[in-house]
Amino acid sequence: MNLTFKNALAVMFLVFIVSAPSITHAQAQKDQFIIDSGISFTQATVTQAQNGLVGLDLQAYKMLTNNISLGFEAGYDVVSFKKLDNYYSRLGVMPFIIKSKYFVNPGGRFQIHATVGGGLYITNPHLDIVPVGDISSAKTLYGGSVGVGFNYWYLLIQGIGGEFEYHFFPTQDGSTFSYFALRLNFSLIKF
Amino acid sequence: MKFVLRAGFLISIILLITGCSQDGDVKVVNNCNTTFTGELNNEAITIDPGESYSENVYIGKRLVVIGPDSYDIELSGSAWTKKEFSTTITVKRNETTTYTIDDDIGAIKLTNDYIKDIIELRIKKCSDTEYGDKLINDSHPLKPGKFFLIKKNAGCWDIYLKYGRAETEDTLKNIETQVGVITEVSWNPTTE
Repeated sequence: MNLTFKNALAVMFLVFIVSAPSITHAQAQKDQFIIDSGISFTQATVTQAQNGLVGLDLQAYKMLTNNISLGFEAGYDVVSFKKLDNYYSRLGVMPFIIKSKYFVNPGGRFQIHATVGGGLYITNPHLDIVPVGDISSAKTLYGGSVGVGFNYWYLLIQGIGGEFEYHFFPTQDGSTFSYFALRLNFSLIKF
Repeated sequence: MKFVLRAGFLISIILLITGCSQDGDVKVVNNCNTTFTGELNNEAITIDPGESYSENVYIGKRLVVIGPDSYDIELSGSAWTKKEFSTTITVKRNETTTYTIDDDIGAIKLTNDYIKDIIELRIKKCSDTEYGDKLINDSHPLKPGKFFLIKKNAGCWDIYLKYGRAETEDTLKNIETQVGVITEVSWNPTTE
């Protein structure tokens, strides 16, 4: 096999891509950006909550240090869903929250994190008679979230991850509405 | 890859314990001497004397220790020997919550045993001098053979009534009532 300069470059590039995560920091460093697009199973944990369904969320962060990032999360989570005779009773929640992530790097391509956030939650109910957790109409409410998760950076700037996030916000009736998201993320680091 | 497998296992475990449905049972016991009719959790119910009605109540979803462990439902209604009431019953998960309905009033069951309509009816305590408001008026007379129920606390009662087109008056004196007891009175001016 003739190893041309072009082929040699290609081989070197492949070797670099495969080995880079283990020889460099695969995780984002200070001043870099991370974008997470996620799909999740979202489930309300309140009275009269039916089975949860799906949530789609986008998160973007800037690394303030090598371990701490600040960013936002926006999405649409269907947290209660039930098929009635000819109607899909459902409750959607749209989180628009500021979040901070704290990363721990155990080594290699693996990374774990904890998150805390706060901001707006817009409820979007399409329910039958019974309210879900005192939510029966569209409201804009203030709340927060905490979460834990991990990332596996299979390439230098691409990774997948899992995340468990618990959201909570007080309703106008004084009770606390809560739901969790069990999320699968696709993550990108932007230099 | 090992980490991915571990993460997948962790997610599976979490999925197993997530979103558990919670429910409980409510049992309404009718200890009244008369039939209870009302609504439980927005459903019409009827419970005969001494009987009970049970229903499974869905509470909601719970994640391990997070989430609801009880749910409030409304019970309302009345019986001939029970005042109209509305109450909240807190149903706890995995438990049977029992609510008992007891007599709290008596009643006079006045039957029109005469051939003419009763067109006016008033009642008072035996010790009072004035009769109260009209319980029956000529727009809704008490037809012959029909009865009218007057819920009253335990005591002694006098009834004043008018009947027929001539608005003839009559009274029924010293009718005793007790909590939980239906006092039956057949009115017929010709048999007094």
